[in-house]
Amino acid sequence: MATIRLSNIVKRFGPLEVIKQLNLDIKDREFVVLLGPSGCGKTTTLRAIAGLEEIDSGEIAIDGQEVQALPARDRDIAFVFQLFALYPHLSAFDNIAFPLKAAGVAKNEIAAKVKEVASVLRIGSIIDHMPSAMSGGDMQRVAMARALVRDPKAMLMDEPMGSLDAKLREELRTELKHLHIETGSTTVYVTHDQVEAMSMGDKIAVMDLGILQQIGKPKEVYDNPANVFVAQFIGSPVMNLVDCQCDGNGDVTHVVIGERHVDRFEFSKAIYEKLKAKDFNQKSLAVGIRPEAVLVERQPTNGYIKAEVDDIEPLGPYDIVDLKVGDDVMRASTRSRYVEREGQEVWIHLDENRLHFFDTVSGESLGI
Amino acid sequence: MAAVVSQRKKLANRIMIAAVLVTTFIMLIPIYWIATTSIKSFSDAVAVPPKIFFQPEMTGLVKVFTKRTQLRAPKYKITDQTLESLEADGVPGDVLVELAAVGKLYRTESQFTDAVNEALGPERATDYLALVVRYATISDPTPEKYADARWYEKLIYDSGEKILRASPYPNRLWNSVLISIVSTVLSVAMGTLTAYGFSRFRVKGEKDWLFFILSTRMLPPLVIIVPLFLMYRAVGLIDTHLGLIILYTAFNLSFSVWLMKGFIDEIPVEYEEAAMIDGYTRFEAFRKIVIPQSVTGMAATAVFCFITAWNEYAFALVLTARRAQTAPPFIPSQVGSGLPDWTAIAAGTVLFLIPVVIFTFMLRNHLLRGVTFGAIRK
Ligand SMILES: Nc1ncnc2c1ncn2[C@@H]1O[C@H](COP(=O)(O)OP(=O)(O)OP(=O)(O)O)[C@@H](O)[C@H]1O
Ligand SMILES: [Mg+2]
Repeated sequence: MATIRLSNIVKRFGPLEVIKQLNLDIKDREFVVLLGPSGCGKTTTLRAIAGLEEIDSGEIAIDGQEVQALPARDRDIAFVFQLFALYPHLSAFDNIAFPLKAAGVAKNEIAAKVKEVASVLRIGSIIDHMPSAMSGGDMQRVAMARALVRDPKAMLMDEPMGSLDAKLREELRTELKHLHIETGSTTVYVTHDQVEAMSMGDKIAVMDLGILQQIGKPKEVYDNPANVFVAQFIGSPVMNLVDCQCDGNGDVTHVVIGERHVDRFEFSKAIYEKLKAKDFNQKSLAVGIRPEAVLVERQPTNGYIKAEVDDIEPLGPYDIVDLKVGDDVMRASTRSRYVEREGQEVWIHLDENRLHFFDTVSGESLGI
Repeated sequence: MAAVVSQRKKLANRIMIAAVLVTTFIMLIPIYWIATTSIKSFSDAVAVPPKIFFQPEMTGLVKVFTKRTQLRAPKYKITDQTLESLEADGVPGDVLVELAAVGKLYRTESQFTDAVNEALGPERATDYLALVVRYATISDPTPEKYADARWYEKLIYDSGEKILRASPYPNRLWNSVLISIVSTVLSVAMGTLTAYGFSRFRVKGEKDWLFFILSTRMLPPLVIIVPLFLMYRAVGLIDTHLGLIILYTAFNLSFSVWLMKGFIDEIPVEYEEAAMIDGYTRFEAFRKIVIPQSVTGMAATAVFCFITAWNEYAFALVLTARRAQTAPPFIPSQVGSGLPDWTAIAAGTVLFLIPVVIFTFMLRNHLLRGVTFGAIRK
């Protein structure tokens, strides 16, 4: 097991810069999830680490040793592909044994190792099957077994569950998590499924347009998104983002939304002071609030402002409610059936502890 | 409604099956024709209207394997043997004495009878002529020779010829097998490697190269046959196995490259990448991953190359004479003078068909999947 360090990685495909100055530090035994929209360069990053893609500049170090000039076979890394994960002409056993054969491991030792890893992944019963006779879940398990069997320095997985159905994903997710705890292998896991990212990663690295937007523990990324992109990419339904103005009037902070300046939320004075300390620009300020931090009351309540229910989306355990506040629409999540009908009048407030402020020009969070 | 659809489907299915049967039948007619001709007698083979029922015989087959010559017409000579036989049949002594004077060898029956008439005088001649002619005839083969002959020699005697020696047909077949197999192996191997290169690496001007490779196939072969002959003569490749192997390999290569590129393009790169991450070199990945997955394509390509090389006629006719001659130019050389001997040609052709049938049959499993060009996904 090993550390992985990417410094100033640049990768171009012709004129297209797919990875721009990427820095990423992965500690030993860490499970890092690369998360980002389609085409943001996740696969390319992973392939660069594995040695399948030459980088244009920058350094890749595995265990402190620079490897960007080494061919893939000398990097001692395992890769699990999303599709075509198994060699179709080899049985499960031979697939798992394949990397061991390259290393020239003795036959009986191969058999023993394959058996061991097969029992960890519970694929002993299909060990003689050909890939064409396996279910999608079995295939991915065998693929993981092949990755694990030679005890590589790091495991790279490119959407290994991308083609599986939701139930199987959930099942494999837990298994993979356990497996990681057991083996402690340094892992980089690519996905664009944020539930997967939140539940499995020790750290989440969010990428967009070839740029690393933020890296941190799942909770950090969720609670303190570094910019508008991360704020809106992580979390479902997405965070509300509303243009606003903010002023400190005596003992309170007013956050005014909408064109007509009539809808104002009232918060403690500290908010304004923190904003002021950041030297915020009144003209390009936006407030961000997650739907679950929008407080909804059916009766007029002190400090709350009036809103009209535009749409109700019942999701079972909770409802997503679209609320019209002046010209803006905010989404709130409420207890299920708390809001009864569309067109109903409700009163809303924002949870002061969960406010985010962004500069809409730079997109950066003001870090409140 | 569902029943109607399935009824219709059933009908469509039946029509398809009928169409397949009719097509198969039409395709099989020439093969039936050539196969039956090869075991017909010559007169049955050329009979109009064609005979459906006939007495099968091996003459045609024997003819391909032999060099033969026409039997000579009978000659006539009165030998001691003739006189003895006549005496045994009760011909009086004075006649015998006079006959003994006719010692010359006569090439036609009329000359011989004239000589006998003159020797015996008209009366006695009419009495004994038939008998004398009978014992004085030297037939080809002589009755003793015919009696001693083996079954296949008799078949040839019966058809008015005699065997001089074995024909080089087995050798020609062997040449065909050798040249076809070696050139097939070469063109499939080279084609696979080239196709892999084009498929996996960025080659500058890839499209132009591929088109150039294909264009070598666009010229009718006959156009280059004369310059090729001159070139081959200059370097001493005329009538050599190597000459034809090189030619057929080159000829099939363009086809092989294109076909194999199609197959290799279908194999996801991820498999090789996985192998390279698993610790193999690119060449090992090619050997252990790409080759096993393209056997189907290689088999299909091999069949096409083999058949092309096997059937090739024009170049073989011009560039080989004996040592390296293949079966195709040899078979029609059997036509010889006089009427073409269709039974021999048919027998040679049937034998010539067998290796291709065996080869294709051996690879049939791959072929079925191969000719669909990866249209059926695993
Ligand atoms: N071999 C290539 N040649 C040219 N462009 C490429 C190549 N591979 C990837 N790209 C481009 O690089 C960008 C990033 O691709 P990449 O596959 O890394 O995205 P991704 O984040 O993995 O997306 P997805 O979630 O869809 O898998 C895309 O715009 C893609 O079109
Ligand atoms: Mg990808």
